[in-house]
Amino acid sequence: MSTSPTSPKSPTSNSQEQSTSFASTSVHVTPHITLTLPRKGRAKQLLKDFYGLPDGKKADPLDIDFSAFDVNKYVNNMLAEKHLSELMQRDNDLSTEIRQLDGDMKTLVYENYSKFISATDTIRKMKSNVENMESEMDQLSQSINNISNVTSSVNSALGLKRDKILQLTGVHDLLKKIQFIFELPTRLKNCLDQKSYAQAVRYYAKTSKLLEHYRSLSVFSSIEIECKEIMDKVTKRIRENMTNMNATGSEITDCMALLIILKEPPQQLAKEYLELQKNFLTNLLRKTMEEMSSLSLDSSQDSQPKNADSELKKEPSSPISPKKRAKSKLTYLNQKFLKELNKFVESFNGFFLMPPREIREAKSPGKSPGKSPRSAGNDILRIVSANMDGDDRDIARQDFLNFTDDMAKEYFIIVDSLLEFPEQITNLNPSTHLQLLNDLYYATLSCNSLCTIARFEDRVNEVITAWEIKLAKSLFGTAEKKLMEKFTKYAENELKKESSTSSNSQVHELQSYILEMEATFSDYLTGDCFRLLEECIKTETPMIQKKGGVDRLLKEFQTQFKEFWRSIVQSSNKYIAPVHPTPITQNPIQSPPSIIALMMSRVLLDFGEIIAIQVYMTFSNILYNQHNDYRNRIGAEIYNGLGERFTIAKELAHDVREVVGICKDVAQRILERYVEIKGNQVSSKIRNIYIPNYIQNLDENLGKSPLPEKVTPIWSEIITDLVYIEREVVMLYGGPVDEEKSKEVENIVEKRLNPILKPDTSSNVSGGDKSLLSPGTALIKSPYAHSNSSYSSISSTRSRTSPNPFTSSVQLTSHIDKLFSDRVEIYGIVEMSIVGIMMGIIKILLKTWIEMIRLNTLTNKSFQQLQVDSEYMRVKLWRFIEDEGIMNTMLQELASSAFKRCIEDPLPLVYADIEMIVSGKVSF
Amino acid sequence: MQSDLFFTCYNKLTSNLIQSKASLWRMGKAIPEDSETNLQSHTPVATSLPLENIFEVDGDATIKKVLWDPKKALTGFVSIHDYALNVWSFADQFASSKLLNTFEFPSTSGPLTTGAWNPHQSEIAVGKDVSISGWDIKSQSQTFNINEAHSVMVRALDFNPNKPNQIASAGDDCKVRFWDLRNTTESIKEISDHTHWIWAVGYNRFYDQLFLSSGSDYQVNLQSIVSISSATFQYNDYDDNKSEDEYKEIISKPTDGLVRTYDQHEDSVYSVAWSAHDPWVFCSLSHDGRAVINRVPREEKYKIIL
Repeated sequence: MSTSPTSPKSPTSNSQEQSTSFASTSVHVTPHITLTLPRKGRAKQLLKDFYGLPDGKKADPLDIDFSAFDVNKYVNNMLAEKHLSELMQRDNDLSTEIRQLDGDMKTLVYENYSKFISATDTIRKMKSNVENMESEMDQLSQSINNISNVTSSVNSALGLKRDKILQLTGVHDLLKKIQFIFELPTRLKNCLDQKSYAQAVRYYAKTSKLLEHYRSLSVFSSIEIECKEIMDKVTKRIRENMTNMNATGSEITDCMALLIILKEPPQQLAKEYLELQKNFLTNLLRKTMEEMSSLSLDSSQDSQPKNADSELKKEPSSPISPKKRAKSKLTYLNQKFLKELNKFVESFNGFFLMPPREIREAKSPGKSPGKSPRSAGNDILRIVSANMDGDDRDIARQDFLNFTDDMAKEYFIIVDSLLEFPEQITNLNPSTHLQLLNDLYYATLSCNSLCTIARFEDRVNEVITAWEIKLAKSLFGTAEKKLMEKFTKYAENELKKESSTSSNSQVHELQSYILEMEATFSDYLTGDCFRLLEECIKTETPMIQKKGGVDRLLKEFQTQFKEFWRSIVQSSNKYIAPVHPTPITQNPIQSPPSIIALMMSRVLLDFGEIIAIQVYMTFSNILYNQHNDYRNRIGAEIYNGLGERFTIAKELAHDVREVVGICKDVAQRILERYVEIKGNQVSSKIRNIYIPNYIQNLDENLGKSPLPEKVTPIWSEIITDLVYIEREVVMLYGGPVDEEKSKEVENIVEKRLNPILKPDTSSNVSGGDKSLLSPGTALIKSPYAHSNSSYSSISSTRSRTSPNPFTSSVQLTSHIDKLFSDRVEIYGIVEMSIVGIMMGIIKILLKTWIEMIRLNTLTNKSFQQLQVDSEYMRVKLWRFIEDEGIMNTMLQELASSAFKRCIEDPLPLVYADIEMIVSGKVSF
Repeated sequence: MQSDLFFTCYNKLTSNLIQSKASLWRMGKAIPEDSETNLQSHTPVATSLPLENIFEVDGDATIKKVLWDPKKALTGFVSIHDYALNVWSFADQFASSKLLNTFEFPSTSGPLTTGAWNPHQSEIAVGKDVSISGWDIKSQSQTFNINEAHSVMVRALDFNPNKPNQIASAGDDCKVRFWDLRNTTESIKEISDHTHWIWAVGYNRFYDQLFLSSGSDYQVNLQSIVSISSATFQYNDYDDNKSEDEYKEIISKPTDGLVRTYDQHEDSVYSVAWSAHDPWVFCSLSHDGRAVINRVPREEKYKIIL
């Protein structure tokens, strides 16, 4: 190594030898190349050796960069494969490469050369330093020789006496021990007198084994007996101390440790210990609670010294005082109680639950007691643990866990009481509670053994989560309650009104009522609710601010929020009257008026279309904007019912869609329910007149006149009902009220109602009908434009075909009609519009009519009456609906059913007569 | 067996009064049992049998329904009137009938609507307005009463033929309810698959997990009610040893629910009945006079019998 840099010429000579041999075989190659190639290879080899690199890949004789490179082969290969021009090119390339390599090597050599120079300098320095070392070494060896001589002489001089000394020391020790043992009874007695039981126990513990071992010797056995007697007394005393009412927790623990050392039966001890500590801790807890309440008295008196009576009530004027009070309470509680509990848990665990530590701890007794602030002599006490077998230990553990469970429960009850919510949830100051929870959290974290053994931490976390959920629940719950209260109030009013007068002045205020309801609802949510939640999230409490805390909180709120919508929907579903109340209810509750269903459906529809999205928007803006990286997120886009676009935090998008979907869905279902209820209500009137065979009686009532004189009064009543219903519906589904339109609606309603509402003014129903049919009303199209009345069609068929009333042709026509008309879904999907709702109700009404007719047997007279009635309905119903097709189909079916059920030869009235009767111009 | 006897209920107009009466009829003898020719003829032509009116049931002219004894005892029958329930016994080889006793009902609420004879004991259940009540015709005492069984009128009743104490009821609230007569405070099952009044219900006479209902929504619904049927236990234990079943894909355990809706009718279906002979055949009759005979779907059948 040392030679290689110093003799740079030797490799060249070496390589020259090689190169000549190469040259001889490949004459035609330029000598320049043959000279440099091996040199390069060698230099490479040298460098490789220098850096300790392993030999690279598998040798390839054709690769110019490898050590196994074979010039001859390479050249032959080149000659065989390449053209002259390519060879020339290759030659040129090679010469430039070589030149470059030369240059590289030169720089390399220069760099290494400077290093070499510094190395020689170092070596020179070393050389000069080493020179005077020789003499110093000589001196050293001489002195060492002297020392060894002296020691050997000393050794030989003392050699004889050493054994003796050793023996004497042993005897001395033994005597000391025996002395100790002989003195032990007196010592123990002293200890007993001085009440230093711990010392006594320690002495006894030290010697008891020895005494046991030498029990056979009478001297020792007498000592042992004496000691035992004393120790029994000690034990008794200790027990007395322990069971003393005033013993503190740590005293009990100490006593217990002593007893364990004295080898009292551990199972019993464990039980005793648990019992004692239970008493102590329960007392402590009670005392602490008392003190806590007095504490609160003090503080409240501090803040409100004049007002002695209002100590217990929270003063809204001093928002800090309750906060402080609660906080100090908790701190007090933690200090007094939690610490004791922790200590107890720790010692119990050490005493009874851990496997015996004597073996482990005996080896390194100094390590464990680091925590204990007591004197080092107490170490024994700290590390004692009872010897129990597995089963007993399990039993003890079970008891212990039960006990800690109980204690923890009580503790948390107190904590919960501190976390009470004010009655008005909006008055809540969440930061107070958060502060409290934070304190709680860190207090428990500091209680190690409690956390590990009794899973205290989990419990605290549970408490915290429970608090969060409770907060969100009560916040949102209030919103829901408020909303439902409004409904209830309205329902009550409505019921009252029903019982007193049938006033209808309030109906048109319904829409504003609902709008206001919705506004307060969303105001409450976006205002109070979200403000509180925001405070929670913004709070600087370290517990929340620690990693993931906010996210968790948000997640919690989010789920609660979704739950809230669900529960609104659910309770609204529950709240409205069922179509068919469940049978056999012991105490039937008065079901809310059906208009509530309509309102509910409207409100839910609004929720679904607009409000839910708006509220979620605010939710997203307030809560998720706090997140610094919110802007980087891609907000999802949501469209509301009006086609406006909203951007919302991604996490919420799914929820929003779901909530909107649910709201709309339920709104639809509730509306269907409303339609069904109303339809049944209206049609129950028909049920009452058409009970089977009633028509016989009806016939008798119809009077002597061979032809029907007027429309059956029940139908005008039904029309009145429908008008009322339509009024309700118009108010809620009539779109936004603009003044004129509402007035117009009002007018129409008035017009329709007038004749019927005041039955006294119009002498008979037909008189009222006249005004209804008056052509002056702009809204009334002439229904008579459709002259293909079902009855006239039947009569024409009849007259044309045959006199036999049961000719199949009538049935045939009706069947063929049926084939072409769509099947009518009676309780089908109701369109969410005025017309849709009314149509739904009318369909139910007509269907009931058809079915009731089919149950009856008609006479010619009642058949004609029916003809008149149905024409009347056709005229009246026509206004409520848009699509007359369905109505006409159903009336047609009514006609054909009636026709079939007519026992006599039905003689349909002439259409003109019907028209006369319906319009009240009876001319018989 | 007297399979050639049947009752009809009808309205009659006598002296301008509509009367609801019932009559017992006897079908004339069927075509002589020439089995050879019968089998060979591929187009069996229904020959109208001669009918013989045996007698008309007496009593007030408001007969709703006549019930045969489901035990096929053929000793008597029960007629349901507007406000009465009459028990009759045959006399003179079915040539006449004798009134045994009568149950009167108050005429304050609506008339009786329907009735059913319990196949397990001598008990008649009748529907009156919204309630159902049961009457023992031997001891002449009331056995049960379900007030407000339906929120609107009760229109149909049927006893479970295989499981005592179970009755099905249906009515104008579009619901079918199943009751355990030992505790009638609440129904044991409720089906609401109809969209208008239900007029007829029927348990399959052999497999009571099949149940028919029909109504004025022009539909006949075939329901599976295996969970409350007498076959419930049957499916609980023999589940494992049918691995080699080649129909494994189509056959699974029967479950509750609508098996099929038959909507061939163009008008309200007022009656539905199971075949007394073939457990898989049933017939439904609608207002337009169309009677439709259907079979239980094959998959459901396999589910039950395999």
